[in-house]
Amino acid sequence: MKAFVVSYGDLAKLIDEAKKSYTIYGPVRKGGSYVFSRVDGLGDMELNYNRTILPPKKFFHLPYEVLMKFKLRDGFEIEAEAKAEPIMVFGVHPCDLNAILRLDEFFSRKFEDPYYLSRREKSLIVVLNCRGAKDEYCFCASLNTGPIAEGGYDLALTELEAGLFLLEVGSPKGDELVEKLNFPKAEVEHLEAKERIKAYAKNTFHRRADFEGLVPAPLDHPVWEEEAKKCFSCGTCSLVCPTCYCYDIYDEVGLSLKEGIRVRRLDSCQLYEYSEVALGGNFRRERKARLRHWMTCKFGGAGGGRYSSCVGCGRCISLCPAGIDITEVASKLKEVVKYA
Amino acid sequence: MSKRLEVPYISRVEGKGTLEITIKGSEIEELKLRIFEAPRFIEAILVGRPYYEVHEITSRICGICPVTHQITALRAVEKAMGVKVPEHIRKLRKLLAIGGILSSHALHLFLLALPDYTGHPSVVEMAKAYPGVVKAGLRIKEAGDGLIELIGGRSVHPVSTVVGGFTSIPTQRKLESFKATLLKAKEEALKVSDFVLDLDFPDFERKCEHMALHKPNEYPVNEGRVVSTEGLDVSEDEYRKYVYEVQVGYSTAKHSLVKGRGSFMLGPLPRVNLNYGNLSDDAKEVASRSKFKFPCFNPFAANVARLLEIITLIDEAIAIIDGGELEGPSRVKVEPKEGEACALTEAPRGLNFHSYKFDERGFVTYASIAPPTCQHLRNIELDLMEYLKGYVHESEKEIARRSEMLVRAYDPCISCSAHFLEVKVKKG
Amino acid sequence: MGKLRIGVFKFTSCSGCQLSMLRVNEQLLNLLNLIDIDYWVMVSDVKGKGPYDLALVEGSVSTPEEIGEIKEIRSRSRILVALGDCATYGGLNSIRNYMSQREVEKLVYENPTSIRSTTVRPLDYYVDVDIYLSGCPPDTSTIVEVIKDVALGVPPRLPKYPVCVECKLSENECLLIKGEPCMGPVIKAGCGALCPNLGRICEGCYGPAVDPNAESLLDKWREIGLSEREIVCKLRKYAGLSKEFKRWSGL
Repeated sequence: MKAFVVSYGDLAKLIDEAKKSYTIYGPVRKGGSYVFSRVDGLGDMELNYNRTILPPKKFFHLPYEVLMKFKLRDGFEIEAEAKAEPIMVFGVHPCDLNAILRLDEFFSRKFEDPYYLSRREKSLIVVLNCRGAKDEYCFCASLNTGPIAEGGYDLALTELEAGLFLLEVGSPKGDELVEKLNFPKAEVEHLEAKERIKAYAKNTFHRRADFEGLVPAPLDHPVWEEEAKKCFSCGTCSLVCPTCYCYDIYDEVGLSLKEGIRVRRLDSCQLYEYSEVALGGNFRRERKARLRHWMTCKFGGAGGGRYSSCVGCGRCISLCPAGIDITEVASKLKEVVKYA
Repeated sequence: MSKRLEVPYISRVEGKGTLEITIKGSEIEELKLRIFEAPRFIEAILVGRPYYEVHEITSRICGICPVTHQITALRAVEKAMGVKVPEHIRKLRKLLAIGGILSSHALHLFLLALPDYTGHPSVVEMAKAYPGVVKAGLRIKEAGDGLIELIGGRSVHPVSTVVGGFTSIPTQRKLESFKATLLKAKEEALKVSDFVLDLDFPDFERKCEHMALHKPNEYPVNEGRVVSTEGLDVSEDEYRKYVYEVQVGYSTAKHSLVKGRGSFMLGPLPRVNLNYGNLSDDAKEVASRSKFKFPCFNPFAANVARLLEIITLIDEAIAIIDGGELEGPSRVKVEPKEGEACALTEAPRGLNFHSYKFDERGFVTYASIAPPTCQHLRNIELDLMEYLKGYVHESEKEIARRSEMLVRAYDPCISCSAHFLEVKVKKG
Repeated sequence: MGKLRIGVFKFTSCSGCQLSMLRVNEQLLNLLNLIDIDYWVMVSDVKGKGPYDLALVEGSVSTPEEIGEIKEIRSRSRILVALGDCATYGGLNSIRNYMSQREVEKLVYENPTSIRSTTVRPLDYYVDVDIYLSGCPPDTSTIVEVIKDVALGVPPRLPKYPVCVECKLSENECLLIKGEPCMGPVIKAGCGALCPNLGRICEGCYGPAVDPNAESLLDKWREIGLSEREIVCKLRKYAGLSKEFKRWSGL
């Protein structure tokens, strides 16, 4: 694997080079928070960010997208809408990268999703490894999804010391971009420095998550009732979750009633409508059932219990208006599981 | 022989009103503009509400001119709380109010009033005959709506307005880029000016007191001294000393009267009459081509006045944007306290008066609102009495048509019936 | 497919819903390819008696006359839409239901003997409503969507979920977490999180979301420092009569 040592100035060069082929997105400040947003250069970005409000999934699994246009004439004409543009997402944290890798897996199962995959194919992801927990909400270390990325990126950066980065190449696409730039090659000492940072970083996490044995979760545990009392069923947890992929598809018809678009919109299992069927039937009418569904899905329900689909980014905890904490719920459930 | 004529549901006005006219021989025995808009008791529901909700609630007095009811309430609340907003907030509020007037005037003139003069039952039919004129009107309305949205977030009941300023304000760049829309709207207004000026306005004049705000160096919208064609010149705080409300026994509404004189007219025509010097050059040029000479006392000329205001206010909006210095803190801090204050602004239809009292925690203890339509309702009746004299022998249909046209020229916003009464109909 | 014959009616309200409809501006001419205006007093002199394929009714019912009128309109309409909060919940008008009628009248009129208004009610207190299009005012494009859906004969897709969904997708910072008394978590989406996008708390003008957890929100507001009186004012603003908020709005 190729690796280089680059300065802050080199990173600016990297972005300038990338701008020739990609639109660049990176973390920028929004009030007291951060969002991934279009940037002109490195100066627009805030590299020392904790987490963005929406994860990078918004670039690949869009909150709202037009799947196709249709016309009702003599028959039914459709025109697929798939115009993926090349984008570079700069400064992705390892937790978010791992989330993208899970989405990759999901959208390329038996039925491949051409919309998602074409956007992924055109994208270039530059990971920014974390030198430690960004704040009290981070818990990637206990799920092995951070703080240092182990692969799956195009390029990865680790800040070795102020203004000096290790740049690792993880894909041919990443290679293609950096090869023209003649950055100095990394020496063993640099790789060792990274290992030291990794060893240190892992121990900076106060929050831990242990979801093992929680699929299936105890369904009648009182914690569900307690949390449901606080929960607004507002969907924030799943909308900001980097691995939640549930969506809804519907048609919007134009004023002529002769043409329209088919739309895909990000959905959330926390919403009442999500589990609603014809004639108003609903499989998860109770708030408790919806909350429990989402958490058990994150515990590993979605992966058939084989792996947790939580990457420990901390968004669902830090952004929950009701103050619900998945790690706390898990530990309460574990008590029961342990003694069962 | 007496005939009684009723125009049920005056159409193409905002709200519900009927007109009852009793004609005996060639005399109009009785004439009643009856509002049967259900009363909404806005002043009553304000009592006990916190100061920061007042403008949000008064906005709902009227969906056509929510901006004016917000700004009037905000100004009154701020006065009562002893808050002064910085200059850039004052300018942005003027832009917001200009948006409100553009939208309202365009709606009224092009969509509701013009069909009177082209002989169509509604804009739907008129659009087939004069698509260009209707499109021009819709574009001007779009510019007005767009300006409200740019500053207030929503054209009907804006949302970013708060006591002390705004929750967020647009960047200078965004305002700059809106200029194109304004310029386009002005171009449209100039293009259709001949069409509007050449309309067959009835020849009718009735001298009455015209009242409006006045400012020396700008077209008055959100503030100014109250002046009239009869020499009134007072501040908003003195307004109630000179203009009082009466609940007339038979009447449909609280009328407003000037002490010692009587009813008066508000709205675009009095504003133009009393602020002619503040019209923009392009507006003056259009005015010079009109058959009306200002000051003018033909109520139908209000339609021309609307066009002149559209042009002037677009010019003012552009000047405000060009003048810059519109950025700064979006709001100033407000601490509730006991107090009372009133404020007077120019709604699209004329003077809008709000007055409030608050307790020490900032809850409303008293509210009084006099929207323009209420205030000059009596004047509409008097105009009708005079105008219809010449038509008493016409068919009922014709009398009805002419009366509706005159009522509409006032653009009465009957939804503003913060306190319209409903009376039993006196049987003929 | 023939054009929809529509009637637009106003009860006790501010006309804002009709204005929101007229906000289509230039699209109005396209919309007219879809509808025939049989009755819309604000726009047209034509005062058709129906039957209407679609009646859009703005306002709450607050006088004895209006009770008769809404029943009459219902009998002449295939689909009846409650347009806006006044029609759907009673709206801002309903604030006065919490005061004594005499007191209300006396606050406004010196001589209230001729006032004939009753308790404020939403339309469905008196008649069946087919579609509820809440909002103060409802969003223009949503009104157009509903008209299209009625023309197509499909049930409209109106969100029941809370404003937070739209707010999060707009990547706003949560105002509630920042200590402001936002109503977003219990209020229906459809506005595109208009207010939070501009830094203003949700004031609740779209009415209650489905199954709102008002109790939990009230706890938050108390933590923030809202007085009980302010809390009641908040819940009693646009939809105090709704079954969702009734319990807390003070009756």
